[in-house]
Amino acid sequence: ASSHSHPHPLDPLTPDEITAVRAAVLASPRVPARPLTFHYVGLDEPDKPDVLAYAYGGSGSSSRPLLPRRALVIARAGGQSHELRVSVASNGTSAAVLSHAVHSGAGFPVLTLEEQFAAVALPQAYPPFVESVRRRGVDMDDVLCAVFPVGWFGGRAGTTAKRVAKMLCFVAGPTANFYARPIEGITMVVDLDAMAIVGYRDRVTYPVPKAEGTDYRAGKTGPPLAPGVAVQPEGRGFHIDGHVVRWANWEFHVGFDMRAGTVISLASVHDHDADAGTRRRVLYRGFVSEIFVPYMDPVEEWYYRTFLDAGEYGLGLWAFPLQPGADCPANAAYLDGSYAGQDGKPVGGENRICVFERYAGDVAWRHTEAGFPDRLITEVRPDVTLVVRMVVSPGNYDYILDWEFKTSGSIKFVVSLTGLLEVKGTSYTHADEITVDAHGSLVSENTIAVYHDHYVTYHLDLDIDGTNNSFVKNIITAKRNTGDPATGGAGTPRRSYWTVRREVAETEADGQADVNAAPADLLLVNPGKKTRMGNEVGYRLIPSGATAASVLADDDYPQRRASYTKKQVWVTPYSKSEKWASGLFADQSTGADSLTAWSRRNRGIRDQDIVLWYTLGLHHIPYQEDFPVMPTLSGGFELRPSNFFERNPILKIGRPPIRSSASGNCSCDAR
Amino acid sequence: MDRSTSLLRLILLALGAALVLLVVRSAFRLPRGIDTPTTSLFDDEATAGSSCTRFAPWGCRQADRIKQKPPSHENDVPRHPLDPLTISEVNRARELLRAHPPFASSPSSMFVHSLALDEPDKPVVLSWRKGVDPLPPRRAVAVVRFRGEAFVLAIDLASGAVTPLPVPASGYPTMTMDEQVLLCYTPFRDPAFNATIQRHGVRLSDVACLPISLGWYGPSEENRRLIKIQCFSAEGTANFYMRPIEGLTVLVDMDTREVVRISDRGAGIPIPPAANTDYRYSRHMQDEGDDQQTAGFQKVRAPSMEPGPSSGPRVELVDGHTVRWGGWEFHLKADARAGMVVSRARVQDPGTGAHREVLYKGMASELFVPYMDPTEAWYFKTYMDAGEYGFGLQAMPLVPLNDCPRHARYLDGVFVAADGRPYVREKMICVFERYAGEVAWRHSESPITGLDIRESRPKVTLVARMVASVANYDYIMDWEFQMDGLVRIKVGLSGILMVKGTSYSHLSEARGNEGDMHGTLLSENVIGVIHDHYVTFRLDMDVDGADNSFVRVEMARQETGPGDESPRRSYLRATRRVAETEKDARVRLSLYHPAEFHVVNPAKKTRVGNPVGYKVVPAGTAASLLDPEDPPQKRGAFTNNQIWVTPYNKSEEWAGGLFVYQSKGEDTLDTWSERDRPIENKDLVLWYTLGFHHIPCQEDFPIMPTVSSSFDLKPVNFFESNPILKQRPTKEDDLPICTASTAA
Repeated sequence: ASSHSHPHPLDPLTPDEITAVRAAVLASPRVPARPLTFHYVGLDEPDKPDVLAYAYGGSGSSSRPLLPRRALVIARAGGQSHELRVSVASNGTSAAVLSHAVHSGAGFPVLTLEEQFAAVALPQAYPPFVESVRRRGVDMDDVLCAVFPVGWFGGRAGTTAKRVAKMLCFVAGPTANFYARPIEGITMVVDLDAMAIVGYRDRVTYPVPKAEGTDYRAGKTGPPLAPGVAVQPEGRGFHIDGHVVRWANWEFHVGFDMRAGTVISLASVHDHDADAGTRRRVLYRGFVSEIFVPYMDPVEEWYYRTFLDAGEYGLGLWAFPLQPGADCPANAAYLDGSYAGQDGKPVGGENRICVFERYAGDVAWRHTEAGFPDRLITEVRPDVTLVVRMVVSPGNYDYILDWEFKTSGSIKFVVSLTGLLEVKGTSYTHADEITVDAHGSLVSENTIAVYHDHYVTYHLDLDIDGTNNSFVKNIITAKRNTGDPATGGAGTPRRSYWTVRREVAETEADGQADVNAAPADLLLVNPGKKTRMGNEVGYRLIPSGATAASVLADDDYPQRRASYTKKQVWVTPYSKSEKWASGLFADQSTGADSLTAWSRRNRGIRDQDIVLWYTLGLHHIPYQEDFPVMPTLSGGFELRPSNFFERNPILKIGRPPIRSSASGNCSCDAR
Repeated sequence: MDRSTSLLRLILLALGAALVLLVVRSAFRLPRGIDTPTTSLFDDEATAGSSCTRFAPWGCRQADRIKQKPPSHENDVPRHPLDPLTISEVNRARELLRAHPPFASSPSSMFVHSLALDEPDKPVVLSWRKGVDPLPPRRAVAVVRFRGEAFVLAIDLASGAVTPLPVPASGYPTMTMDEQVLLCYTPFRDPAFNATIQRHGVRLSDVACLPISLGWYGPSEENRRLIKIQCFSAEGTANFYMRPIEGLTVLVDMDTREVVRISDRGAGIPIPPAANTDYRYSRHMQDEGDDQQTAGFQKVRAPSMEPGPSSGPRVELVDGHTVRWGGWEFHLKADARAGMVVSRARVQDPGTGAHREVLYKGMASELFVPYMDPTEAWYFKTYMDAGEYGFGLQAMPLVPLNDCPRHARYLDGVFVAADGRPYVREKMICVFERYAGEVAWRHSESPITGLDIRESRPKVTLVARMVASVANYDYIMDWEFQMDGLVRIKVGLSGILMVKGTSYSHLSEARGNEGDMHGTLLSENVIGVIHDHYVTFRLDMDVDGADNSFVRVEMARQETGPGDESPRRSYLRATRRVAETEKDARVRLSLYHPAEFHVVNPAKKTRVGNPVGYKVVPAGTAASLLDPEDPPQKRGAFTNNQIWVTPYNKSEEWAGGLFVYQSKGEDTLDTWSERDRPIENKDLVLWYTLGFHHIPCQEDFPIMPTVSSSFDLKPVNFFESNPILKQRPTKEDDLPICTASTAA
């Protein structure tokens, strides 16, 4: 039986459904080889027209028949990657394989947690490594290792390539922050299918950084600091029905995927001026498609560190339980995120997503009018938003990924980076000793934090007031005033002003945009819908910091795999299969199946169902304040309604949300 | 000056004054009981202003407030060298000015445009110790106009000495609130104006007018203080800005208060309707009836953001102006021109406990708001809000619970009216702890390591906020102090767009003429004109001491050589370049060439040898597109770059110059920087300009949802390591017990 009172076609697979899928795959004669490992099990969502009909069709929800449930499975067996589509019975207890294909191109699926567990146990029993550790004076019991994807640097790709990874090891000892204490200079290659070390090199020896000052765990001592708290004595203002969240004028579906993590679907907003009860569509589906993290050190032990965190590790796999009161405020509600383990069995995934209302003292809108006799008019409304948060910790880094829904109709995307730096051991103990490019900053004795970038790419299938949209650039253009009406100027002494040149993107090439280029407003509009004034309804993309673009050479191998990071904005026509900017099989991929490759087809995107891809970029030069754990560094972007509503949609906001009498409603004494 | 010219000027002034008196007397029938003997030009006009007649609705409120003398500040005494002038000090300064020889002959002809603390010299402030040293001598600096001439004077409050200071070559001082009030009456004394209004079908009693600064557009408008006045119909709405009487511009001489010229090019342009323009809560409640019909967002109630229990740190407000919180200590005050001033910001080093200098003084130095419509009624709208109107003068009281959360603390401002008398602007600044559910730092360890580690710390910050309501616009100015040493300076834009009346009521009517709109059709007959906002901050950085250097850390692609063994072909390299002179430090941001911008103390290094510093993290990077020779751009040349660095100079405070009104850009940040002075290992001032390009959309009508942008000052190798590493996590016991009361 379904665990939800109102199942939704976009609900993630339930544990029962995952179990049924596993049984169907194991029973299928199409994949006879053993052992068989599950690398991806996720909802194969129904076709878009069916979902839209379900969500926005005329009849009440209770009478709508459920859409067929299907899963996409990526499994490995016999050295091959298998793609299977599995149908799940409506009661979620049985399933059958619908289709099967063997992947023949470059790339491998997401690494499973289990194989990473198995791999990190190998070095301790590998004699050359044991000898290297001994030679550095390190106790093997203090050694911890981690698995690092190798990327692709020319050479064999596709079915003849071995699925390999590199392993790097660190010294823990008295600190939990082993990343700050690398055993520098050793490279190990592990064959993930054979689960054996197949390559080893101990090139150079550097001191292992000391443990002092690296730990970040709360001790019994330290300055007291009690944080602020969010208090909602009257209860939360939002409602969660299964996976559907309703708050203020927003309604959307929150899903979870082992590769993407949070998936926001069917986001619609209530328009007070539209027909009663009408919800206007904004976003069909949105998620983080890929995170590309290239490090900037070309030496043997570092050159390949060019992570594709979603495609290689899986953002959902590396989300861990959120801490109430610390990761999320006390007024938060939590959603679980189930996923399939390597053996195909469901794993619970408690508290992977939190939802909370936020009031940070900001102002939604205000005006003070001093122009009237005898009175001063001041009208202010506090800004209250709803946050949907997940935190991904793929190894050393922690990504706090927030979706913030505003009553004004805006959606704000914020990525906050924290966690531990990736550091390199060095003989330097003082900056004065450094005479050549160290490819990073000396943050502690014998510790260099290496320069790197982060590029977070969002897949946003926007459907502004309907499926067919266009991408518009309102380019801000300087114009000179001749001062002479006869030549089209204005008869004034003003010499210059700027105006707007409107360009509608016809094809995918037109849809690429570098937000660092000439100033422009970038909009997604519905050309078939206009406001009462005749303006096309739309949403505007507003970058907000973190607009770095890649400076790597175009032919550098990691850049070829993530070449979409040269520009922040890409627009493609909707295609259900085009989800992952780095390709379905990202590990050791070559970029042949990627956002850039799809976009090269230069398909029409005017007045089509289109997808916006936005990449948020950060160049990170580390500093001592980032050691041993980074204060949070944030960047984001916003989708803001622009001629979507007839006027300010929060003008008629109800009585000021916080009243003077609030203090009478709530006793806020500390325990 | 030639004696005969001086005499002629005096005669003309006298005649003008007499004419004004005559006009005032005939134009207004003063209510019985307040008809008092005329003792001075100013007093009479102030009296006229306080009558708040229906003919000039705009600005009377200030006249009333100016009269108030709240007793709570009467006995204030300064306790810190940077404390602003107290009420008694203002009164003392006023008496000294009125007794000063040029003004003593006719004190009523003296108009005070600015009267503020003349801050003691920097070394004096830095060496002052509370409780040990007496306060340095209290001095004021005044800008006054007397019989058409401007004076800048230093006043020693103890000795009574009044000393003249140099006067800028061009420009006029900031308008006083009083004259902004009175100027709105002027058009109504002109029969041609009244006739024009009636031709537009508007009743005079419904007219609201707004003084709009002139800018500078060449010699034809020089040598007298002029202002343009635009009028609106306030019938049926509080939001008269949405109902312009388009094309009507009145040019007024500010000194003689005469109408110089009326330009009316608005024939055929209707006044936009009042429907849907009001933003008052009470009005919407009338319209909406009961709550059952309201949409979901109207029921939103904010969670109450409360500070932690009493064991935690609290915001301490010491001696009225010193703020202490979470390792930070700074001096905070209101200023008539800058709005809010943050001084002597120091942050505690968690390793040593010492308070280390970060910022000697920080403030908004100037704003520049050029509109992008070159036509007659609009071309001159290129406001410089701080220098022309006074950013602080335009700050209105904050609304508790809505502008600032429940637990906020408030500071008042003491300002000076045109007659030199002090008045109090209540609740001008608020200070509050913010907890927005954000994370200060965290790490979860992968189960692969076998370590079950989940460490996370909530982020709590301190916000100091002021809101300036410059006629239609509301600027929310936030300084946010984080415990990791970062300072975030944020500008939020809200309020009401300046709109243009048009005959178009639908976009289809403008087909083919969109370029002539210079904006967006927002509602019937209303165009929101496109414009920019630039806010330039002056930041006297003193990173761990006064002598600093400006370092540009450039990031560029480095190709690997063919001899290198690496299969990587490229990587990013960071190169540090120290700026030697002012021109080296001009930065017009190009994000195609990524770089970081540091202010470092080259004499101070961390344990591992990195120079201690702070970096400015740019954001809000819109840059000016105006022609460099366009008159407004010459005045706002500080927007030619986002970053400037100058050597510290006490007199170089205002990016647009001391006298901005009708200035020509001869005394600005750009001209100072042109001297290309050495700035390496010097006491530096960093200037950062936040820019916004605004293409209006219908959601901005009739009042704008807030648009924000900010930039950061972030420690870079200032601390030895993460300064908030030892912050303790939240415990369940930290949460208060809250239950809803049945009384609600």
